[in-house]
Amino acid sequence: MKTFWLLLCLVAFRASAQDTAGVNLKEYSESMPDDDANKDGPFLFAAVPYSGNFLSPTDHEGVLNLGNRERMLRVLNTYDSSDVYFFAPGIYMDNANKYEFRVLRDGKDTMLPWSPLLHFTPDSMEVGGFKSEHHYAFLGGFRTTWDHYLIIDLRRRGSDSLLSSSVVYWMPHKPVLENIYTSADISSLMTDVIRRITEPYYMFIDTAQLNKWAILYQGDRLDSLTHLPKKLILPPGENNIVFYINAGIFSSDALEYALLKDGDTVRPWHAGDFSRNFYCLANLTAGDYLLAVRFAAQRQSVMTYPFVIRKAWTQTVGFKVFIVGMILVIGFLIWFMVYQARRTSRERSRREKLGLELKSLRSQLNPHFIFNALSSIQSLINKNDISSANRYLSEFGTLLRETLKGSRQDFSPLHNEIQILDTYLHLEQLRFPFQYQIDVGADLPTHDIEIPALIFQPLVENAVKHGASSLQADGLIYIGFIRDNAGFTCIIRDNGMGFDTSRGSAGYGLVLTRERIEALNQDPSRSLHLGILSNAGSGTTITLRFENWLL
Amino acid sequence: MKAVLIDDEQNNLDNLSRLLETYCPEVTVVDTALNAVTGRKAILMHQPDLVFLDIQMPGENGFDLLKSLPDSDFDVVFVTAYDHYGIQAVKFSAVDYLLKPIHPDELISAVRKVSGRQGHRRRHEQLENLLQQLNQSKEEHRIALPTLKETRLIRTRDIIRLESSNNYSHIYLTGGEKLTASRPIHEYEDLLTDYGFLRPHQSHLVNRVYIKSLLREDGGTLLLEDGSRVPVSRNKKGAILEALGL
Repeated sequence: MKTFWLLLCLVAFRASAQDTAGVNLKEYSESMPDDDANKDGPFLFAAVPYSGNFLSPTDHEGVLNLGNRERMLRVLNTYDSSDVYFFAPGIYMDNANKYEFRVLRDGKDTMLPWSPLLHFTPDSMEVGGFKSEHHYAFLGGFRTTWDHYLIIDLRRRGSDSLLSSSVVYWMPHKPVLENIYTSADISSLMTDVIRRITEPYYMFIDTAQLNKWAILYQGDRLDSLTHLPKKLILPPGENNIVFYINAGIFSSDALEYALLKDGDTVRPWHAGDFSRNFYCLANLTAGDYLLAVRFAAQRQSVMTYPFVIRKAWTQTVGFKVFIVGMILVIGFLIWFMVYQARRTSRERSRREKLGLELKSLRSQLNPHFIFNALSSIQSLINKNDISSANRYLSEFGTLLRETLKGSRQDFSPLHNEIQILDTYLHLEQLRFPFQYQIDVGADLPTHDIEIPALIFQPLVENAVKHGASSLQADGLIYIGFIRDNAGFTCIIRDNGMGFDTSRGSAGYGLVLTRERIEALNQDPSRSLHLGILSNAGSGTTITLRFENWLL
Repeated sequence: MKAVLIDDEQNNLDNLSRLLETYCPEVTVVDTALNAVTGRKAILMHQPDLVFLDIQMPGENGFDLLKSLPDSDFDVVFVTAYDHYGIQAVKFSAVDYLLKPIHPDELISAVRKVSGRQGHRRRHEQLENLLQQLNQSKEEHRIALPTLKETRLIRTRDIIRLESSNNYSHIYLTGGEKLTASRPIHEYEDLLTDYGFLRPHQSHLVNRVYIKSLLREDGGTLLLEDGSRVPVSRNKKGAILEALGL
């Protein structure tokens, strides 16, 4: 049988486009009989579609039902689902009526019974060494399904013996994956590429390559035929892979591959980009992949190879859950810290308020004022001004009593506060002979209005200390209370030396008042506004506006 | 007018004597005492028109002394330095008092008031009221409300609410009666807070037992049992809600 396989001369038809049967033979190759064939009489040959494949010899011996034809025929494989065309040199128009042919499927089923030869090749057609001027017989195009074969028999009409037979096998054919190279073994890839280029038909399996996978994978995870892993598993970093496909092809178009990732096509079917047999997949992201390879001529037969590029730990579901958890935890912590900070700040403002009460007590019981007042009263006694001493002493008692009460209460009637100011200024007059005036708008319900206890005290003390005291009898302090719609304004004015408000080095009294106002303005239903107007040499005017304080 | 002075400090007795001598020459100090026991003896012996009495003294205090003399007919002016509890009680009954150090003008005013009552020859009603309620439960306490014509003694539970008219207060009673007292509302707030009164607004003082409900209208309004409505200020709302347990 071997002799039948010796020579398979494959020559592309370069004949004119159409023959009489409307067959385009441009992309076909013809199979020529070997030397032993009977070239004197008529014989058959076939033209199979040119697929770019090597027609690799396949031993069909003992498998095909060829009857007694073995000696005279060759088995051709076709990898294409298209028709295969049959010709019969030696049969021409003038002798065609002496011959007939038939087509059998799988050697037993009659596809076409014995039939006359009715078609002939046109002038322009040249098939192999058979000149077209002979116009030899054209039997037609036939095909069957995969893994089946057709036998064409030629005989003299009515004869029992066959003149010639041709067998074509529709060969299922998948590409074979021969090796895989990862970025870890780039050097062996280079070696193999060079060798495969220099010795393209040398079939070998590199033992080093076999060992490579045997070291990495257990025996039951290796394919016993290819010696490759059944499923390649790569670490996250190894995302460049080269597949070497063993397929006897002449053209890169003959082989196509597709790539699926996690069930979705990431590269549709297409021929390789660079080389016929080497598929280089670069910069792959983590995922479950399936490489699919097929011959363009036989697209239904697909070789698939699964491989996995593992996710980096940062890409795993566990890590994502961990990140989400961390975000939640951090979010909660931030919320908790903000909540705590707010609570602390509330607590602090409450404590500040308490602290300010104490501060206002301290400012009110300003030792400087207390002992100076006592000293003034003592001087009245020593001057024998008993009556004045009695009155001032009693007023001093009243002031102390009221300020002690004020330091216990947050709020106090405006009326009481005005009386405290009056008493205070009256006592200060013992020390400095200034004049003062307190005007209260007649429309102001001083008994009803409650204001922060002793709020005016530091401001009026400033008016005395920085304003009126140095001017002696010319010193003047004016205090006015004027109603507006839902609030009122207190004006404290002196004609003293004034100060530069831009310097910011406001005295303790102003700082204290500002802090206290800030604490009081936490209540959104009403507000306090402090205004200072001062110029060196022309006195100071302080305004304290109580907005919405009468609601 | 005959006066007895009772105070546990000799200095104070001397001082008050001189002040009376100087500013109230119509008053004759017939005796002084350093405690309640000798004070009682002095009163019984001299039958004075007026007693200046310190509230806080060691042993028997000023109130105890008065209670031990139920049928006497002298007037009393309390004198105290700084006694919150005592002064509250005295103010509650609108009895005269002086605070140390004594202001000459206030001394003169107190003596004038007493001399105006001279001839009635009996201890006035407010003082009786004060002494009574020192032994009574709070529910029975009557607050002295000085109106233009008279001073009324009203049980706190009979007051529904008070409404301010600057330094006057209108007082609405359970029977539908309305009084006008010549004291500002904040003084009544001081006195009545311990009796369950709330200040929902700068112009209003309300007996909480007569609060029927809190209406949402106008940012908060209290509806009282007598059908009257009292506004709640925004800045008081929190305190009122807390006080009402809402």
